Amino acid sequence: MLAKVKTCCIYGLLAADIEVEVDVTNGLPTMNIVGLPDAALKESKERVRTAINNSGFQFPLKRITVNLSPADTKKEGTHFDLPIALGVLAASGQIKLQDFSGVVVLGELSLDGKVNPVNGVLPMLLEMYSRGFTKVILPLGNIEEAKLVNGLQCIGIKSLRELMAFINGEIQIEAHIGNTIEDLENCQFEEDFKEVKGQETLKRALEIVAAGSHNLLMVGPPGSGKTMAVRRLPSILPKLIFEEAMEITKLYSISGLLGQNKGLITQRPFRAPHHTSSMIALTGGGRVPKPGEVSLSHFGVLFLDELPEFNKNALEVLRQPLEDGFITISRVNGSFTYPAKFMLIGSMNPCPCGYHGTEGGQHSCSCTPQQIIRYAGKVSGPLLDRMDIIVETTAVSYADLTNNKSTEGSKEIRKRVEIAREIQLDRYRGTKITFNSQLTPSAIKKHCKLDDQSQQLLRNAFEKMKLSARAYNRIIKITRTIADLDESPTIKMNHLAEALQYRKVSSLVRR
Amino acid sequence: MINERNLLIWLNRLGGITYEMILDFTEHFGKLTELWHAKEAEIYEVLQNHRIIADKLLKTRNKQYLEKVLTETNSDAYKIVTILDSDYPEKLKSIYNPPYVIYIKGIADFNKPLIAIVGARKSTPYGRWAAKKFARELTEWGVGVVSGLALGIDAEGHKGALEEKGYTIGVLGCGIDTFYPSSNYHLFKQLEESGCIISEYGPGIEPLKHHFPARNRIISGLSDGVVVIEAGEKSGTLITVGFALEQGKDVYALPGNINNNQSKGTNKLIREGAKILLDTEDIIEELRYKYDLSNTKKEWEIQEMLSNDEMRVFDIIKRQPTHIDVISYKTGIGISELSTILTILELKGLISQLSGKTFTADK
Repeated sequence: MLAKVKTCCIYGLLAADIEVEVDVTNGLPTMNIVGLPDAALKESKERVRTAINNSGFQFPLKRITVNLSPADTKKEGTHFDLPIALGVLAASGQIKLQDFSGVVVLGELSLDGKVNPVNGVLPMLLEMYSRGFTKVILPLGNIEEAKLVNGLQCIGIKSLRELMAFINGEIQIEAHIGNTIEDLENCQFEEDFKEVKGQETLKRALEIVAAGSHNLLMVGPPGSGKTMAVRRLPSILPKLIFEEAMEITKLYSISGLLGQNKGLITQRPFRAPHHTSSMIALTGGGRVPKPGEVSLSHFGVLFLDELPEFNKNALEVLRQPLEDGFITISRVNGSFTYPAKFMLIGSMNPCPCGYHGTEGGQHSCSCTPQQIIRYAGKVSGPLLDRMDIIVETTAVSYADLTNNKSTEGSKEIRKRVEIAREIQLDRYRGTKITFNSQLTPSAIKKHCKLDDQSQQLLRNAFEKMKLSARAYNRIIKITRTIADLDESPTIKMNHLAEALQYRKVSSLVRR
Repeated sequence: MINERNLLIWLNRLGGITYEMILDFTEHFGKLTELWHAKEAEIYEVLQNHRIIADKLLKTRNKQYLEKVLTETNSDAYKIVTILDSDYPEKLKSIYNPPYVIYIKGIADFNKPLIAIVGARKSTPYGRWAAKKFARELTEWGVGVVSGLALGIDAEGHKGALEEKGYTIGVLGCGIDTFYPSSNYHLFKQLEESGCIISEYGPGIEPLKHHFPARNRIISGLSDGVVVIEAGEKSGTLITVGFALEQGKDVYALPGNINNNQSKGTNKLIREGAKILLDTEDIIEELRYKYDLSNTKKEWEIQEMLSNDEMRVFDIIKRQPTHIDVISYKTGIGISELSTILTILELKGLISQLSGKTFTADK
């Protein structure tokens, strides 16, 4: 007897629908899975047999053939367990599957018949729903994720036995109807900018990058508060809009980082990979490529602490995603494209010992000129070119900066950032741009008009500060963000003048 | 009217009587009035090596001649200051062989810081440019420029000072009423107007060859330092340098192309130990030991072109290089606004950024 159950398989962020065909005929007791299954999927038969037996059903002692159609694409994942088990039970006549043509089944079985949550549920179901599947049976642990698909009926089950009882009509399981969440709640943060004393320049720079999603490089001696300030960056990032949250959740779903019972990700990602991370860890990869750090920080922050300590090759691969906003990884199994619109925050010391340029302070640099040049040279010119803002921090003696000066907390800063974000969303409605940092040269012409005074200033600055033509776009983008923070529709001279403060200073960073 | 002062004018008018001879007279006779009545033999004895001068002295030692001298030299166009007068320049008193009578046209202000800018008449464009540049910059610091009202470097030095509405002194090698060289007539008039022209030669005296080396001792004597812009290997300018060294003044030499004949003298001076002149600061630093100097023109100009907040920020940076956060703390101006101000100050060329967001004032 033949039974068919629908399920799906993930390829990158896209999904394909798969039909699980199970045939039970007389013959030597054996079970074969065909249709290019991977190792985890081949092992599925052991789990299926034990789970069926342990759930109080009979695993047929017959010749069982499982075909995953279409048979010419490779399939991987453990979520095929449940549809195969269901197929076996139906093909052996232990259950009747009625009205199952529009139902997607997925789930991993454990030996006692329990149904475990799986990865990649959100992107798979989004795709399946758009193809006309309106109902899904899936592990209860994935139900929050599935509920994000607007209009989809989701039935979460705990065990194979429960599923059988449900299909036989013995028990009722309420179907959750998925819907979109329009207003994402604010997240709570433990760390607050109030705790950062001094470093007003750095705080202002972080405010600007948060508002416009610009890249930032901090250069300064150890202990000047770089890492401390950046750790508080998430607390001032603008809240996610639903589309962004969905994209992030999809990426985390396929990476298996979503966690059980977790639905939509409402907080912008903040990824801080260690400097021993490999190139693959940053870009993503594997036999079937998984998203790397650049994609996991999509719409969020990729913080590379101690930038020059990173493998040079690993840093260089950041160039393309920084430019394009996505990364394409090609492997034998195919090409996979993952989004990677992240803001890059780098921190570095000016030299190996860290105190170059702070002469006269408590420490003095003990490096040779060669060492300093070599150290700065680890960050290549093209990468530096993509840094919109470079801030040099100094360990200022704060003996005279007494504590009674009230420092702004994250809440106030975030308020301004949110307003700037609203302005940007409004201005770029209908285009692909969501942040000022994504402005293309033609968009700059359209959206960033300078008044005569600013033109004059810029012309002066180019001559006096010897700026390169390449620096032009970078400065304009930052100026746009500063103007947005000021809630000014036009770019004024003071906005431009402030932006010019965040240009590169050649004394510290070679180029 | 026979008095010491008038007798000095008479002796000066005779020509060839140096201050050393005057000292000999006073040593011998006690007072110059005694000289007037002294016996011929005594005078011949004092001037035993200068018979011609003694002859001349005796021939003119009569009331009519003295009267004639006094009327000749009396004019509203200039005043006469002798070494006995209280307004005689202090700086000249201490030099060897000072001019015991000087004729002054224009505003006499010899106590301010003064720098001589000297160089050959035959000059290169580089030399003329440098003379003017340093004259202008010295003027900005309130330093007066002394030179010889000759062609070339001298003229450029005076012009630079005048352009900045500063003070400049021209020392002549001819009579105070003579315009030599006449092509500088316009410059003479300007100096009479807003500067000063002095000479130890009374009206009607020709610009004789030997007058010029002599007036050079006055140029260096009046000044606190001598700047040599350009000089050939055997230039007369080097005489001024000789006087300056003898008088203990600082000598600054402008370096030049080693192939340029006009710079051979100055380059040689540098080799021999003159101060190399690269920047006006080089001179100002030395003058600071003696005078309280500030760049008046700049300060005034800066005040003109800065807003209140900009001025406040600039005042802090001017005192010492300061980190942006500290400026913000001291002024109470927020970082965003402060960044704007700093950029504007940078573009105006008043400050520049050291590493690590620390700002310093440019001179």
